[in-house]
Amino acid sequence: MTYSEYLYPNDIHIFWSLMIVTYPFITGLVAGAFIASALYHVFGREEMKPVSRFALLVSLSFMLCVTLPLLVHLGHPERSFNIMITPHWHSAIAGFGFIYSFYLIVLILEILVSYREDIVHNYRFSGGGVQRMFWGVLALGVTDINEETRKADRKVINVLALLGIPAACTLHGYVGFLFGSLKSNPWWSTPLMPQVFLLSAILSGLALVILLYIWFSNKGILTRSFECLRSLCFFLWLSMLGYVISEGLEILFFFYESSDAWVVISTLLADWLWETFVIMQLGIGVVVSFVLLTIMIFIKENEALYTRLAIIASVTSIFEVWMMRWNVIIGGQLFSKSGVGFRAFNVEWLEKEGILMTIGLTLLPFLFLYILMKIFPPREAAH
Amino acid sequence: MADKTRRDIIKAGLGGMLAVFIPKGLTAEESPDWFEHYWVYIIDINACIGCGACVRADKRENDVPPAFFRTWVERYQVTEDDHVYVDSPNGGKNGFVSVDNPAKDAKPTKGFFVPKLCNHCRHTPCAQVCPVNASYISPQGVVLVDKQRCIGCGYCVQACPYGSRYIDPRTHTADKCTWCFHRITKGLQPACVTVCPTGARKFGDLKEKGSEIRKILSTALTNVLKPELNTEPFCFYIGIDKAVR
Amino acid sequence: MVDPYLYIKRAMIIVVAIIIMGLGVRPFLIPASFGQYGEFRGDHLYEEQARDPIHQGSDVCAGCHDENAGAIADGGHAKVPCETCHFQPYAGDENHPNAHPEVTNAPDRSRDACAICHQYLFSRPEGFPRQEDMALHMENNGADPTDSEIGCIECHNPHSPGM
Repeated sequence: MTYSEYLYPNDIHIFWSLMIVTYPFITGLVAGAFIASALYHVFGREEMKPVSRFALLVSLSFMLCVTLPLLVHLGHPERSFNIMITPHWHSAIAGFGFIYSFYLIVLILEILVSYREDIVHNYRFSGGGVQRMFWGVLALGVTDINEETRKADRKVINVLALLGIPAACTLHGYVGFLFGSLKSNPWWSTPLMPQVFLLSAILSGLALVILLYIWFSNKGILTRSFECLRSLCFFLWLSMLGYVISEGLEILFFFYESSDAWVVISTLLADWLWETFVIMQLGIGVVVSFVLLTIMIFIKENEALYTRLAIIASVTSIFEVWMMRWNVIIGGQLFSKSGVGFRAFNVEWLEKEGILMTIGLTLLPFLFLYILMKIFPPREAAH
Repeated sequence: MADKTRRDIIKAGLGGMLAVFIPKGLTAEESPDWFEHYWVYIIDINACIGCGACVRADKRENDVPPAFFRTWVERYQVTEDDHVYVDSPNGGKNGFVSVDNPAKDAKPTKGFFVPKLCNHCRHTPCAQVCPVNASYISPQGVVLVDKQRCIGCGYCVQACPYGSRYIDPRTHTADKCTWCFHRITKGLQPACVTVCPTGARKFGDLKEKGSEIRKILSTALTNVLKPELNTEPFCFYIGIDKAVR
Repeated sequence: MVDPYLYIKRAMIIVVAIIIMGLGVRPFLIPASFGQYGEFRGDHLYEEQARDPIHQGSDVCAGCHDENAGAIADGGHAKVPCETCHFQPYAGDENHPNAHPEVTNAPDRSRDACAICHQYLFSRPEGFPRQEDMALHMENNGADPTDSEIGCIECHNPHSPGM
């Protein structure tokens, strides 16, 4: 049975557009950056110490922007707290408020405890007035620093990092669940969706931390360590491997099961997502990054070459993840629910959910990072 | 029986367990008005002539925004080699006489019209995914949207497999067919049923003994749209073909 | 000796205080009728019900208009509701029908208004009166098909059409 093109009359435009692409991209960076930090704290990767506190700041600065694309998208942002006032427990979105709040608390606590010595130091040596009050409030009036408290703080950090890992994974895995659990959409409806989202989140977060680490260690703001960079890149390679397996399985199952879904997906991949999915996401994103990261495993001496390749691989990885968000969210709406009709996606520069807004919201976290780094210099404390 | 209870809990899932903590509200005895009826909708494909009177009536009755439809009519034309032409120009609002026929050069061997509207599913994905309980199934089986609670996230629009929902560009909230809730609660039929010249659309109360609706459901061969999705629609179709999407 | 965990303990007290505040405020933000009939705002049922119906149904029309009742009951349109035609040509939009302005309720008298149901379309069910060739039909009955002024209703009584 073949069909001529037909779209349901209500399926005229794509309602989830660039803001919904930006949202999982930013949460992904949050989760990934946190994992980068947890690798040192929880899994004892000593070589990653130079980047662990910094990665927390990266995570927080993106965390502060997570809700913005959603609020821009909502028809009634002023009612957004309804998801916590009258939450519907069957809805994935209802979980957002609680997961987000829990994770934000864990993240802020972990940053405060990791910077406690600096906070106390600043409190003691600041001139007075507003500055002294600021540090005093952050110190919560606890100004004792000794071996006992240091040991206690380290324990607390480990517990928080341990709590933070599932929270970060839930915050992002839930985004995958949000899409994967919709039986109305063949391109989304797969149990592999949460793990595809999660692994790509770790991928993008690690890649961003690598880029920022290279940048700031060249500027002397972070401690430069080849071992640290190698380790970060190795984990980038690992998460890329996990991601490729998941995404590959997803497509393979769609193809092999060859159910109703494949009728739509095959057309989607061949005609509508050929450039963005096959060429950009898989070709440029996955193949280039994966080949480079694999080659880099064998580069043991040449730090300059390694760094250059790391930059390219990180950029292509982030590109890959952004394209993945695009292909899932926009791709999943390029066809009508009728399953036999397709529609194009158009986006303007200046509209509410347009390109300019997307660029703005993607760059805003870097402003937050700049401010956070002024307050909490990420270098290891030395006094 | 312990077995049955366990099975029930598993079937209800996590939401069912959490529901224990949610106030259940009044029972049927205390508020008889809302629990008196249980509505069901039947569409007879064999009777539909594709005039679009229902779409026009719906637009008048419910002030539906111009680009969207609470109900619409699809025209199907199937050729001998199993190619299906489907169209619904402007939702069928102006009928199908003055519009282009996509199958005019083909030689269809089978043709029919399919009126569509919200299926008011018992197991509805739209109310399931609504994060704020703005979408819900009313006590008389109508899926409604509370426009004062709706945050306009659009998740329900994505979740509906039938394309019955849209975001109203004027209120920025989700909107859909309500089976003309303001009519059926006053003893009238939905507007689309009221104007249907051939009786292709039927609406009635499942709780009313001996009603026409009950007679049809218990004797006619009916099906629902996309039964494989297990949404349990309460819109039943008589004489529906496998070509219908 | 100061408790080494004093800092995190104080921080946790603040966190717990914020959560308790949130839980304390929440009940005041839940609409009063929420949960009355189920997991939704109960008052919404009344709001949704409040709107006035626009279409009245044939029984309401018959309450005043008995002039065509006999013809309708005997003819081929016996089961066609009044408002199928008496809202043409899509004019009832802005005006409330209770006011019953003659003009907006006047039906479309053109041939198109009949064609919307009775023109031949392949998808229309067999047995339903379908006019395959309007021009030929008109010529056979001595009317000029190019004159758009001539409506079907010149010959067929819309309240009781016969063949």
